[in-house]
Amino acid sequence: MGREKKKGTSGNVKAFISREKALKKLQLSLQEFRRLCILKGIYPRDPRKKFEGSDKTYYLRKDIDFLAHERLIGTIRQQNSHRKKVVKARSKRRIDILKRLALSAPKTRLDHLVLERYPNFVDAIRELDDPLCIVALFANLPADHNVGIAPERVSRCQCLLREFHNYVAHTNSLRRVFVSIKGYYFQADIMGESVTWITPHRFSQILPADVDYSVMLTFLELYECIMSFVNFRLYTSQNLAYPPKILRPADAKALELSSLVVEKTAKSDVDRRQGQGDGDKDEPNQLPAETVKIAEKLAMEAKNEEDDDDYEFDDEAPGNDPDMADGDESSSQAGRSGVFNGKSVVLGREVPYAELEFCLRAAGAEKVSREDDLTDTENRLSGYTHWIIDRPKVSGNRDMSLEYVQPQYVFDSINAGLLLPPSLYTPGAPLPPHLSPFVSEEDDGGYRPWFKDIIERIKAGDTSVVEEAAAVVYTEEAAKYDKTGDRKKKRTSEENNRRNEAVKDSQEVHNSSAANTKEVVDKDLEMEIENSSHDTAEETVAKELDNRIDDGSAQGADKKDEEPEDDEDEEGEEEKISKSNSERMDKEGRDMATLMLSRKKMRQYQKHKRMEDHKLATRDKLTQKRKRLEAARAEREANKAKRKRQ
Amino acid sequence: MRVGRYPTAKNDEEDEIVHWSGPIMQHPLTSAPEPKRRFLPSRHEARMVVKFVRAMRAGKMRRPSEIARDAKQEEILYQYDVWENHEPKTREDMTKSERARDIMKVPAPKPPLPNHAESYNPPAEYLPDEKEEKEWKELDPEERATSYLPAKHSALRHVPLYENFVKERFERCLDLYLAVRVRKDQTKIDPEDLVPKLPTPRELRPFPTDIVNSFGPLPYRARSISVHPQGQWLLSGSDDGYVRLWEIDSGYEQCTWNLGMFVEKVDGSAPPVTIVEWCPKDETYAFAASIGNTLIIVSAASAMGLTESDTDPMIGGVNGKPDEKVKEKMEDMGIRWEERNLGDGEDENKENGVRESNNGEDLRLEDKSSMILIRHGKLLKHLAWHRKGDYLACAGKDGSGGGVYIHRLSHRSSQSPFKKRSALVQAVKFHPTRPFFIVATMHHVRVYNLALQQLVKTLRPGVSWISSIDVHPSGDHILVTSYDRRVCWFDLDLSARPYKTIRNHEKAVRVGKFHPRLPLFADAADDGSSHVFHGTVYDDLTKNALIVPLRKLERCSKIVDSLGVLDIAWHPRLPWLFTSGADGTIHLLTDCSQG
Repeated sequence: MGREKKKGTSGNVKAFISREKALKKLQLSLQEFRRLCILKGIYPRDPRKKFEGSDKTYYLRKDIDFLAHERLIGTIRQQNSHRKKVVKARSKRRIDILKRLALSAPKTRLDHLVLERYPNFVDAIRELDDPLCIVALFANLPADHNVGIAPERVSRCQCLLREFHNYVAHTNSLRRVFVSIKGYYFQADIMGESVTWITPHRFSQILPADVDYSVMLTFLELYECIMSFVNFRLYTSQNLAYPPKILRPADAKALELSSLVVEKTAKSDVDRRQGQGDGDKDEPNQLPAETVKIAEKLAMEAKNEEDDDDYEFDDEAPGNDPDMADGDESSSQAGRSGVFNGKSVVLGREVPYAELEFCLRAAGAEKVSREDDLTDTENRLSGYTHWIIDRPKVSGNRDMSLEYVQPQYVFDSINAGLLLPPSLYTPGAPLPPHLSPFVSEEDDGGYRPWFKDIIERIKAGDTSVVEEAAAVVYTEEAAKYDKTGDRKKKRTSEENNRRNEAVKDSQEVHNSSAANTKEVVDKDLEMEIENSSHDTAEETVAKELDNRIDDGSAQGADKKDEEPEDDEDEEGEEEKISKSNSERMDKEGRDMATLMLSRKKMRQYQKHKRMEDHKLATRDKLTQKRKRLEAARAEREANKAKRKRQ
Repeated sequence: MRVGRYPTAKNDEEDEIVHWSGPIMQHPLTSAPEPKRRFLPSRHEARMVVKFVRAMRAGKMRRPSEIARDAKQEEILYQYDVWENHEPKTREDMTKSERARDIMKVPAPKPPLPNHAESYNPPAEYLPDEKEEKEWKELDPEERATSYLPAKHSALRHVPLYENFVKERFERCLDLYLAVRVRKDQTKIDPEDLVPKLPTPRELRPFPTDIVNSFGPLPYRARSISVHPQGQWLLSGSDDGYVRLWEIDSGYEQCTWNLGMFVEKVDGSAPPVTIVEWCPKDETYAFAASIGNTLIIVSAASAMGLTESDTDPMIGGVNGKPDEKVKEKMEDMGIRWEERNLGDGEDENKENGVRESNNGEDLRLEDKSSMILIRHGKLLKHLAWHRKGDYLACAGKDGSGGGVYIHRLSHRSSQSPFKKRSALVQAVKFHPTRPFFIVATMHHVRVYNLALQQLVKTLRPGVSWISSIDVHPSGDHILVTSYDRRVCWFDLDLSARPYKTIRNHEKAVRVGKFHPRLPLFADAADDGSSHVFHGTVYDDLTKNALIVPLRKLERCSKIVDSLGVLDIAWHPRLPWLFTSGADGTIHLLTDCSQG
């Protein structure tokens, strides 16, 4: 017998600590502790033995020891005592003290935390998703005094996000865009890491009441800091000045990226490091041609209209020498790549400007202008290649030198890696489906939406599919408005009852059309009605249905014809049967083999099997739905052809 | 003010003010002189000034302007390169504590990326139909598979605000700092890879696949069946106390023995025939059946038209007699041997008063059979023949416990091999090649050496109630079935734990049996099915037995009173399986598969 072990010296009890004990040890309130955990990135763990009960939260004892040495705890204490002083002064109405206290409030600096959490810059990039998402959210939130969202923070977030977008656009590192019902997903490739973030649709966000904003603001505090550092590093790694200068007039017009001036620092990264102190005041700032042009133009406009003081650059004016800028143009364009390389785009008033401008710039577009910013001269559209429009019709005269397309064209093209045929995205026309670029081959059990194949074929240079795709999109869209068609869709799957159905259907349609002549009828039918002036709507429907009935009986006859042939192939059939029998036996054998699994393996097998089955079920469901849609479409087309013949 | 007027700009306020209205006093109220301190600078203030000056010099106190300047400087806090002069530490350079934390670090998992369904304009097949939409809406928000309902918007301008955006980001925040993080290795395994690679059943043919012939049905449960070693005759014992003899080829019921008339009736009816088994010597036509507390050995030769003397030396021929000591013991055990031979059978029966029910009838064929009745004090549960056909073991139980008896037919003697009353014995078996005797209790299987009279091995199948055992013809493997739905294969050379446990049935497994010649075995369960397995045993000691499940033979019996297949029997040479069920039908299954 060895010596008796002392309690609490090894094992789970030593490695973990419950939250309650941690609070006691750190002498912090729960709120302060939570705040610290958020900032330091400390999270609960799952000890194998819950030695203080399963309802407790456990942390690593090492984490808590680590927290105990955090200098933020000192700051928190200072802030607490400062708050007490403020309360005291306020209750004594000592304005002078309050003023002094307001200036000397202890501030939390988070620099060291960033370094601690991300010892390498790449680590920070790797975990940039959450910071970006939160910053993007707050950039789109209304400032609200009640929940503590200060307007400065919102504008700071907007600034940080814009700077980041600007970097992505500048380096052409945007890889994927996806417009979801939640917002815009972007994925960029930064230093070999893919960073994904989502920005909400531009609406005034509703602030739900059941959200603890203080938690989010604590996260934001850290994330602002991280984003700021990351932006700085990203800009300087490209020899760009950070923060980028803001063009006041463009900013006032909410021109987003166009209002940022990307300046090149003369010194290379290494040089800058050596002579650190005077880095900021270094002159030599080179602007990309296009930004300079816009800046100049706006400045000119501003001068014409008002006094120029307000429209100067934010800081001391940088040397925006046009000659220098022109010289730089070629080099800055040379590095650019992207599907919209060399294209100039006009954005309609109704399209989301910020997102499209970002995407287009990141895809290498030369010029991105708003419809409203076009000068009203005659050849105002010269040089432009695309007009992004989101209206049912092009208003006014169409400029034949421009491609008028819907916004989805931009997103799909970026995802496809080439400019898709604009004819699929004409204004007002039904759009082909917008597919997620994040879906891998195995997702949805390996189901491939049809449009993905179309894109693949277009990529391979097969342009003949475009018409086909457009036709599919059109008929599908038309079928959506077609109530009777919808009903038919379900029925086409049951081929046995096909005839009966058609009869029933005809009765129904007769009834319904008689009862309500205004009912939305198949678009094609409407056309038909227009063409044949002497036919009433009812008659047309009836005719169509008669045709279908004929069709069904013809098919039945076909089947009858086929039957005798089967007899001839009897021998082959037998072989088939025996083959299928043996296949069945093999399958059965495989099923039976699962009986030989041990219990542990069996559990594993069942788990994986369930997952597999779920995937297959998803795929089958989707395939089935697709088939139904296809069937409905084919039927429509057949009917249409028949009517044309008549 | 008193008269209701109010001042305007024109009014001269000076006129209105009255500075002193009382009479002017001639003397001061106090005659104390002004104190000196009123004329000296304040010492307290001087001290404060010194304090401030010192604080300012030490940099502890800043002027408001300075503070404001500093505050402004701090606005641009984070605009420098933190990573610039920072060399990340390698694990070796870290302190012990840092290293421990580094090892335990679990990065937060990234949220899943959106799929096609989340698109503002998804492919039409991703849209929910009415049923799915209703289901989604009815579910609790936490139980929904997706947080959103896919919707198709014909243009980007139609996309509305997503209301849960803030909430979802908040939940992500909560996950980041409140959720327990555990590192889990999720290996992606193809489930089919887990399944052992076994030969396909097709390669292991022949084995029984389909029902080809049925015997019965009888209105009673067919409790037990047995196939004669020559493979022509099938015996079945049923609940009505009858034993029936069937010709396998024709399905003809050759004769029946009403064994119920030799035992006391229970509740007015004959007790069931629990076990019936042919003598394993193939030149004999004798079988043993247990009914109630009586073991009856019947010579069926005469019933089948054969002369008994040729074929059944066993029953007639007595080679020895038990000595007095053994007889005493037999009496102690309450065992009584009775013989009922061809000639004197009737008298004996009359003496016993059992034949009354058969009075008036002609002597039937089966009644001509000579029999030996061994009466026990206990209700018999199980019986087993020794391969030579001389010894017969049976297990029984009564209120005081179980008992195992071994009878020697040629000596008409019985003995109880165990001194202690053993716990409930479920089954007994003679080893086919060695002088071993195998006894299965509820939880264990014990192998005894009869020659040395000692325990050889105890097998622990880990089941809660053993139902039957069978020994492989090679003698090295034992099949144990249990009422808790398990079939265990023991390799006697390996360990006391099962080599393989198969959980294949949904209900209690009643019986499992090896084929006497072919590498097949089968089990039968209360779910009305019987499963056939291939079980190859290798002579090579380094190679374990190969077990391959071949076929689930469903619907071998209807389920009556939650009982399904009660017994199975293999044909001695062919891959034919007989099953007897609670519905009173006996099926013959053979290989009918093609290709």
